[in-house]
Amino acid sequence: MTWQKNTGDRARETIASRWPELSARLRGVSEYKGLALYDQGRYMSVVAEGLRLASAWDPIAEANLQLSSIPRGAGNATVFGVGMGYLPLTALETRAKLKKLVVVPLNFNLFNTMLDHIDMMPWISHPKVQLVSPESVVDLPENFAVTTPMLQLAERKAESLRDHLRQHLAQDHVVAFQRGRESLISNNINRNKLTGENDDDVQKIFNSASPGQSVVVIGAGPSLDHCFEQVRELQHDGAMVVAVDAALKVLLHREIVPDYVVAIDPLDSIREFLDVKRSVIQECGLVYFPSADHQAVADWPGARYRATGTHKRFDSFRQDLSSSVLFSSGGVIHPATDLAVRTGTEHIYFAGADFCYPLEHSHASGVSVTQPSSSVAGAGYTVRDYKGNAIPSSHNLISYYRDLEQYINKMAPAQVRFTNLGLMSAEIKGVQAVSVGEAYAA
Amino acid sequence: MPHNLVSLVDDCADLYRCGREAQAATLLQQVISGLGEALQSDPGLLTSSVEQAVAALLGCQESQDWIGLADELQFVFKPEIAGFTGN
Repeated sequence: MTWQKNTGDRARETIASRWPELSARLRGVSEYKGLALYDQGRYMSVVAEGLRLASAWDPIAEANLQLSSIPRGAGNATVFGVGMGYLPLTALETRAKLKKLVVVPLNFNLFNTMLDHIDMMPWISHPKVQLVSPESVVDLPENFAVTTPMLQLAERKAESLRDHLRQHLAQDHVVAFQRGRESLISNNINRNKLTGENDDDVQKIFNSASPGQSVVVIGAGPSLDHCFEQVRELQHDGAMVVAVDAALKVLLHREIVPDYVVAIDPLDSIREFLDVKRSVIQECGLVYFPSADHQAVADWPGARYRATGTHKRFDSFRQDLSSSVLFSSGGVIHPATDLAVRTGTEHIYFAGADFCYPLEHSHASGVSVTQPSSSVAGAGYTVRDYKGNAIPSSHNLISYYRDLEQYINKMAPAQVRFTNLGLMSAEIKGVQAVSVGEAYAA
Repeated sequence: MPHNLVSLVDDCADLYRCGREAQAATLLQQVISGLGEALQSDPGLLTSSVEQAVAALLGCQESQDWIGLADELQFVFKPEIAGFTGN
C-alpha cells in the first residue's frame, strides 16, 4: 500500500451513497493529528500515536495471521478496526465463501484521515462489505478478526466494544490461568462439601428485603475510603449491607458491620480477610462458593450460606448439597450484586466497586493486599470514571466490569435501580452515580 | 542457550500481532533470558547490532507498540540470533 494524497473523496462518496448515516459521522470529525510514516522496513507503514498500524515487513502475512480466527468457509465475518485496510481487503481475497463482511472502524477520526492517504476503495466499494459503527455492535459475532493496534486507538464511543474484544482475545490466557488453579479449586470444593451440609442454602436470604429496604453492595476499591459516612447513614436508615470479603475488615474498623460477606476465591489469602471474632461480626453471615478457601470458610465464626455458580466444576457440589446459583463471572462483586438483587430490593447502592485504580492504590486503605496502582495497573488498560477521566485499570478488572455491566443491563430485573456512591468508579451503564454527600437524597 | 529460541521468537511475535499481550509478554521474558544465557556462555556474541536490536525491542515494549515489537523481534532480532544458535 502506498501513501498518497487526495484519495479520500471517492471513498467518502461511496460511503455516502452506501451508508449515509456513517457519512454524516465522517463529516463531523477533524483531521487526525499524530500520524507518521515508518519507512525502515520492506513496506511503508503508518504510525499513529507511536503505534505501528501494520507490519512494515510482511503486512499480508500479518493480516492472514490476524484473520486465522475466521474459518476459510465462513459465510459471514466481521473485521474490527481498519488501520491501513489490510484486514478487510485480505478477508475478501482469502475467504471466497463470504456473503457478508462487516467492517467496524474503531476510530472514525483516524479512519477518515487514512481515507485521504490510502486507497481503500477496493474493499469499501465491494458489494459484500457492510460498514457499521462500533456502538451498533451489541454482541460479538461468531467469526471476527481484529486490527489489533486499533484497540489501543479506539475512540470513546468504541471503548465498551474494545473491552469486550480484549476480553475475548485474552480468553486462552484466562483459561490457562484457571487450569493452573483447578486442583486448588477442586480441593476446596471437596472439603467444603464435607462441612457444607450444616450450612444453609443461600436461598434463605432471597426475598428477605422488607418493602422499601435498599441494599448496599460494598467492594474493596480505593473509592470506598470516601463512602463510609454514606454507608453508615444508609445502614442506619435500614439498608442491608453486603460486602465482598476484602472489604470486611475496613468496614469493621469503622464500626460498620455488614449483614453478609461474600467469598469465592480459592487462594488462602482470603483467610486474612475473614479472620474475625464472633463478638465483632455479630450476626454477619458468610455467603461462600464451594471454590472458596476451605480453611477460611471453616473458621468463619458466624452463620454460613452455600451458593454456587453455573460452572460444571460445581455440579457435584450441587448434586450432593442443594445450593442456589448466584451470577458469577470471576469477580466476587458479581455474586455479591446478584445476592443483593435476589433479596428482592428495588434499590441497590454500590460503594468501592471501582474496577480501576483511582487514588493511586489497588484497594481501599487498610485492605491487607493494597498495593500502589503502578505495580498492578495493566499497560494501556484504562476505564472512564463518572467524570469521563481515563483511570488506570487492568485486564481482569475490566473484564469483571464489563460482565457486571452486562448483568445489570441484561439480567437484573428492570425495576431494580442502581446507584453508585461517588464518581471515582468506572462508569457502569445503567448505574447512576451521586457524588458522595448527595447520596442520601438519591 | 535454549535450542528453540528462534521458534520462541516467532511465537512471541505472533501473539503480539494477535493482541495477546499478556501471553506474549511471558514469552518475551523467556526470549530475553534465553539470550542472557547464550551471552553468558559466550560473551563474544554480544555485538553492537545485537545490542541495538535488543534496545529497539525494549523501546517498542516501553511505548506499547506491539506491531513494532513483533516486527523488531522477527525481522531484526531473529536474524541476529539465528547465527549463533546454529538455527
